[in-house]
Amino acid sequence: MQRQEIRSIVRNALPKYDKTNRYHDEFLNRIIEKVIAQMYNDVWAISPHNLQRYIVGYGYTTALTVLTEPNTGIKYTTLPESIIPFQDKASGVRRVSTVLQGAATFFPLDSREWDLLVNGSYADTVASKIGYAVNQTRVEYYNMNATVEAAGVRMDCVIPFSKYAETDEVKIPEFADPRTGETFMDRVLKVLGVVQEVDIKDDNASQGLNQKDN
Amino acid sequence: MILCSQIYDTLVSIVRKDKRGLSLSIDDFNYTVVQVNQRIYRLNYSNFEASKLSMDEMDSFKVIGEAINLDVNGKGTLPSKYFHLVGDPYYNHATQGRRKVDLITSLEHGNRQMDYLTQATVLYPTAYMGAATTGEDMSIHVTPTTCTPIYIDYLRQVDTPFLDYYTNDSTFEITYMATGATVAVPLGSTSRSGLSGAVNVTSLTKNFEWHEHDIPQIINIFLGILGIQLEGQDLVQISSSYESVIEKE
Repeated sequence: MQRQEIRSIVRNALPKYDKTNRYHDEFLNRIIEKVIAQMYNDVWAISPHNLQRYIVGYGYTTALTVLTEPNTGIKYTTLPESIIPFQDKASGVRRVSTVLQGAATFFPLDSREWDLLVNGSYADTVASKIGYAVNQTRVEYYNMNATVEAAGVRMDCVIPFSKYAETDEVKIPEFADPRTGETFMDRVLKVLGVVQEVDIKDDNASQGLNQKDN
Repeated sequence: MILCSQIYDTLVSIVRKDKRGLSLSIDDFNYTVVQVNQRIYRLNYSNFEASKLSMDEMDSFKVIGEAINLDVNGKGTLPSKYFHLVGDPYYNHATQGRRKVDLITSLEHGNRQMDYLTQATVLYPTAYMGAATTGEDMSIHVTPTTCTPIYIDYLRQVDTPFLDYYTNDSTFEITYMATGATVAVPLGSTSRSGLSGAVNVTSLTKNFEWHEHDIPQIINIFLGILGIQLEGQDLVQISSSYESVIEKE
């Protein structure tokens, strides 16, 4: 379903019509985003490999640039889009690859593992394996050779709902929460159910209460 | 549309109680009709678009898709006959098409402008009402100011009926003037405004904008008011007892 369709389904499940602007589209987007992100994490908990169904590819047409940080010498690529973090080394970057398939292979690394490898490990001598560590804004590479660096990389990322365009297809895991039995719509409407009506009466008082002295 | 003269003639025939004179002059009628007309408008407005049935009555006063151009401060002046906004204003975004403009209060505007998600943007603009400059009625203030023009549906005010006429100086016979016409007042007659014939005058006659089925209600409200003016208690009582019946019909 398209991003705009998903929001429309949620809006149409709410009381119609919203005459006091109780539910703003941007607010709906963020609630949907939170719920989908939780569901992606549920998918990850069942099997991290299943996240492959929900990735968005970057660098397939034009390679993502690999840069070198002058002060540290770290080779890195700025994340092409914000990602949803997961509790494993790959986080929201489920796969990194050379643009041409198979030139070298990438494996997610923990930063501490990186430190160990650099510190005289035999693994340090392997030239065709590249480690990558994901942080909030970029992907850092360990043991990337100059050829791969020059050619750039591509990535498969799991991104938040708000980063899709309105007409982009967004895949929502079609399963109920194994603990509560709640579906996507149940979870979204549960959050929206606590939103109170807008109090537009300019009377220096809480909604439903009498005017108080200043 | 209902002819003003039709209502006047009907009223005169109902309220005339003796043959000594005119119990309701046209000038009395013109003074009273303002109140009657506004009362009917208010009665219908209170039930505006409450159902399919009530749409027909007031929707002839609904102006659709009026373009309001905004100045550099995001202020647009509402039409001179503006009465009430219907639905939500909108504007056309260059790439995203029609975008709703949230009509909000000043309280909400102040709060939303400080809120990250719900502050006004070109995709989710807001507007609130305010006074216009001198001589104008009301204005709408849109944020962001670049969302111009906006388009509104609104209820316009109802035109006040008026019955213009001239009188024969000898026979005192009254001749009604047609609406919007230039009327040749003949020699020996005097226009309502006091011009003696032969002279051409512009008729100020304006007919009722209501529908034929509103005649009982118009007459009834008139009778209630005229009963007080004429000290005819029976007219007041009849009007009062008919009012609830007519509104149910």
